[in-house]
Amino acid sequence: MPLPTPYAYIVCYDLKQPAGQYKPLFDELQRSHLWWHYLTSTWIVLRYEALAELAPKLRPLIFQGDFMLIQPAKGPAEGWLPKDAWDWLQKNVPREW
Amino acid sequence: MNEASQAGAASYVSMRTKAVQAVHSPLGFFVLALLIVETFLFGTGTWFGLPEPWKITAIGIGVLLFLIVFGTVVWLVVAYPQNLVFSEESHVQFAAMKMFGSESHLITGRDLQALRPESTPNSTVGQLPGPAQGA
Repeated sequence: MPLPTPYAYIVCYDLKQPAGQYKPLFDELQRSHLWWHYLTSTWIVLRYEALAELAPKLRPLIFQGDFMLIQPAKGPAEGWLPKDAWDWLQKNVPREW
Repeated sequence: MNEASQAGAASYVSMRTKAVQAVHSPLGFFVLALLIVETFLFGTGTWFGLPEPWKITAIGIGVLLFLIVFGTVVWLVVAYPQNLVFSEESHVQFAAMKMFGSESHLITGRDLQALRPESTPNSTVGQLPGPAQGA
C-alpha cells in the first residue's frame, strides 16, 4: 500500500560483481520519486513504499555475496560533498533536529 | 642453415608474443584457444608423421575440441555477452560512465570527480542531549 507522501531512505551496498551486472538495481533506484547518488555505494531515495515493501523490491537485484543496507534517512548531514549534493539533501531529507 | 633456423625461431617467438598480447578480453582468449586447436589439427595432419589410425583419432579429438570451444562461446554470447567482451579497461570505463547526481541533475562519474567538494552550508547545531547527557 503506497504511503501518502514519499519517505526518504538511505540505501548503501557493497557489490562484488562487475558494475554492468547491476543495471536493474540502478534503474530501480532511479525510478524513485527523487534520488541522490553522489557517493559510489550510497543512494538516498524518496519512495512511496514502506521499508517492508522496498526491501523485497531491491533484494532480488543484488547477487550472492553482496551486502545492502536500507534504512530511513534523516538529516542534518555533515561531510564533504559538492554544493549540489548539499542543496538536494537540505531540500529533500527531513531533519531529526 | 643455422641462420635460417634462428630466423625461424625468432619469427615464431615474435608471432607468439603478438598473439598473447592480442588477448584483452575473454573473447580474445577463446580466439587464441581456437588457434591452438587449429595448430594442433594441422600438426596431426601434416607435421607429426603419425600412422593413419592415430592421425584420424587426433583429428577427431581436435574437431571435438573445436566444437566444444565454439559451443562455449555461442552459449556465453547468448547468456553472458558482456562478460565475453569486457576487457581490463572496460570495467573501469563502465564504472566511470555510471550516472551520478540526482533525478534533476545527471552527471557522469568523471564529472563528479571534477566537482569541488565543500563542507555543508547548512547548520547542524541544535542536537538535543541524550538521556545520559546534561543531567
